[in-house]
This record gives sequence, C-alpha cells and structure tokens, in this order.
Amino acid sequence: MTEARPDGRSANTLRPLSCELGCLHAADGSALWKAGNTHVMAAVHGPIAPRIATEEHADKCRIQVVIPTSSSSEWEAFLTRILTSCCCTQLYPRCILSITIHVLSHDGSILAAALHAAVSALMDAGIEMKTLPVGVTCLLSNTDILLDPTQVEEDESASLIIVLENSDADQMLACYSSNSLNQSVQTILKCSVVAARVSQAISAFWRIAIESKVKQQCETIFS
Amino acid sequence: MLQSHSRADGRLLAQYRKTTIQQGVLSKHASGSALVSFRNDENQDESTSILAAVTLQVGQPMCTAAFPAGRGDIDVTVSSFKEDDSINISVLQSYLQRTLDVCAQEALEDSISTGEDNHYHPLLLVPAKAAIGLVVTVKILQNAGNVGDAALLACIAALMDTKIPCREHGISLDEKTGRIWWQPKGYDAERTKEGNIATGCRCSERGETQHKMRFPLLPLPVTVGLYCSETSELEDKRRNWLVDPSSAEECSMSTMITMVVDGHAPEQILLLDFCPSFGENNRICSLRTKDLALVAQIAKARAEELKRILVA
Repeated sequence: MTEARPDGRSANTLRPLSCELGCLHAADGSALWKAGNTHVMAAVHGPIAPRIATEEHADKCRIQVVIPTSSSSEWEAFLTRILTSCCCTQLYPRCILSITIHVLSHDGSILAAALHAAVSALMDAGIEMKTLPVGVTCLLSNTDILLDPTQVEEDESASLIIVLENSDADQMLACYSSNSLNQSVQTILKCSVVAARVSQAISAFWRIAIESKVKQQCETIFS
Repeated sequence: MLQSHSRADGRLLAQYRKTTIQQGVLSKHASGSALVSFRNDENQDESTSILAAVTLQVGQPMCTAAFPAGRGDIDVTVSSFKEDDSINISVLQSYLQRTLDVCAQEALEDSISTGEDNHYHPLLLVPAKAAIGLVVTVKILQNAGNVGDAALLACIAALMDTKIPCREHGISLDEKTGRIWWQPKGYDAERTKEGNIATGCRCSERGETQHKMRFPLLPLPVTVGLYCSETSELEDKRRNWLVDPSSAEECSMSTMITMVVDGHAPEQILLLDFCPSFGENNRICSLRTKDLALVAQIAKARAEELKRILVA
C-alpha cells in the first residue's frame, strides 16, 4: 500500500500548475511557471544577431540557456540540448536565442519546472518548434514511484527527470538523474510509462494557457 | 561507416578501445592516484588519457540524516592539459561530483568499538568536529573522445588506491590549536585531557597506520552513441549504436547515453543521463523502451570487463 505523501497527494498526482505568459514586457517572450510552491520564470530574448561573430552558425540558430541562480552548469547544458533539438533552429540562421531562467521559489522538481517555463516562454515568443518536450520528475522510493516530488521528498530519496516527446512513453528525449538511483532498468522503464500518462495533462494544460492568452489578446484588440 | 560496420579507426561498432588502468603512479605526492587510457592499438597517438590524484584534507564534517555524527566528503576538480573547446570542463566536473557523491555516501568501514551502538563514516575522525575530505584532482592529458568515462574510471581507480589513516589508533582533537593527533601503536587511547576530545578505541593488532576504504557501490560507466540515419526505410535499421565514441564520432551522434552501473551488481543502474547531441544530424532521435534495455545489457557487460581490469 502506498504511504500518504506529506502534502496529501497520491503517488501519481502532480501539484497544481499555473502558467502566466507574457509577464515580462521587456523580453520577446516570457513565462512564469508554477508547480505547487516551485516558481520559475523564463525570459526569451531573440532571435537576435550575436555580439561576437564567432558565436553564430551560418545555417541555424544558436540557443543559449542561462540559469543565474544555479551552481550546476549541467542543468544549463541539459536544457540547451533539449531545446536546440526541439526548436526549428534552421529557420533563424546566424542568430542567437538567449533564454534566462530564474528560480523564484525552490520546492523540488526544479529542472522540470525550468524546462516547462522555457518552453512556455518560447511559445510566447512565437518560436517555431518541432515538438513539445514534457519533463516529469519521478522519485524512486522503496515502495512506489512518486511524481513531482517536493524538496523534502527529494532530500530523502533519489529522483530522475524523464523528458518525453509527444507524451509518448516510447519516445524518451532525455533523462537526468540527480542522485544514486540503484534501480533496475525495469523500474526506470516503469517510470517512463507512469510519466507518459501524466505528461498528457501537462500538454493539455499548455493548450489551455495558450488559448486563454490568445483570447485575452483578442478581447483587448477588439474591445 | 554504417554500410561497412567499421569505423575510421578500424574498430567495429561494438568494439571498445583498449583500456589500461595504472594505480599508484603518483605515490610520492598523493594519497592515491591512477592513470587511465583508452588506446587504439593501430593509432596510439589518438588515445584518451586521464590522470586522477587524491589528496586528504581535514575539516568540518557534513552532518546528514544517515550520519548524524558527520561524514567526510569528496570534492572534484577538473582541468585540461591544453585548451580544448570540445570539452565543457564545468559540466564534466558536475557529472563527476554527482557520481562520486554516491561513493562518499555509501563508503563503509568497520565501526569503531566504542562500546556504543554507533556507525561512523570511514572518513569521520572526531564526531561532529573533524572529518577527512578527499580532494580528487583530474587532469585531462589527451582527449580522443569519451572523456567522461575515462575521467570517472580514473577517479574510481584513484579512490580505490587511496589510503586513509587508520582510526583504530587513538585520535584526539586539540580544540585550542585545532590540530588532530594520531596516537602511535601501543598507546592506550582511553585518556582524556583538559581541552582535548578523545575517542575511545583499541589499537590495531596488525600494526597498520593506513588502510584503504571499502566501497559497497562501485560506479562503472559506459557511454554509447546513437546515430539515426535517414537512408533506410526500416525504423530499426535507421538506428545505429556504437560504443566508446571517438572525438570525431561524438560530433555526428544524434544522442549520447551515459549509464553508470554498480560494478558489484551490474544490473543495478546508479545514474542514467542521456540527451540529444549537437550533431550535424538535425533529426530528433528519441529512445525507445527496447533501446534502454539494450544499453543496460551493454553496460552490464562493460562493467564486468572494467571490474576485471580494476581488480587485476
């Protein structure tokens, strides 16, 4: 029997989600992503010409992710690679797309929230993407697989984030484990199946967020 | 390469370069050291060589839930012999730190017989006062691809070569000067002086002053590259796997997967990292369920081979 989690959720339940698009007027695209008490803001600047000529690619756009508050450059490299593969970079040659991510409130599952905030900001900026990557953090406890863990839960057990393409368990785009998993491959595959079910909710939530933003803009223009 | 199933350096797709591990290469200057090389017999100039050295420092212990009295720590520093834009030093350092934290947490030693039912971390000297910190310095001597695996192997081999002071001798901390004192063999360590904090213990009957640590978890890595071509009509034939990629091959991979398994139980996965590469191939190549199972089998076989080399 699954033990009750400290915040009363079941093992497969995500925390309440919130996404505010266009919250920063100075950026080309921005988003404030909230998952429970984890708040992450992302700002997109670009596509613009790079300041240093050696930074540009002749045939595609270069994406740069900066997380000022993070001491791990692995997260920046991880997000850069995922977003580079998901964006249509060949549409913006010789340009640079800079994504800055600020962690406003830290309560677990930061990397997944940062990914979702970055994707939301890219959608707000109108950047064309091949696919929407959805990240789900899975905590491997002794008894069960817990989704979207809080900081307290992450301190007690190992977790890994699985990034899926098109919410398909058989299309794993990326994976990052924060600590020693000490699990078999079957357990990790089980995580991807559980994550796929939940990721459909995140994709649907994105649709609702974009629709509400477009509706609000239409009401403002035609009012 | 895909049609002939052989690579530019003459290897097959599932063939590793020759792995050599030499421990104790810096025995005069470091507590533990190791030199790891991934060498191609046909072209010995193109080899990946990593040198790792372990030195000891004494400092404040880290108190955790598992070790309330405190435990030691492992810190990693990475540098390259010459400038190389293909290596992201900070990312490599973070990866090694994350993996070696596993060793620091799980390191074991026979508990000190203090009469109390306490389990002390092997790097702990004086509970809540002093512990040993292992500083692992990694130097990339030559890069011909797969630096992550070579660096982690060098760190593990250096840690296995490291000797730490035997705690079965008496250890006392002089709080006035902040100095740690090790009692020589034959002393009865059950004495407490004013201003000193002494741990009660018996002296070693073997007369050893240093010994090696035991690691219940032995992290052994394998990196596999996945290349997706657009030429073949069959989905399976479009996906091509190759192990131990060289520098040139790393640039053209669609996805790079690094799996760290436990050398004592290779079916247990300790770390799993994979993400799309910045390859010239612009296709998204996601991993399927059977791809992950295949990589786990490759990792298990490689771990058994690496363990044989390490123990030999």
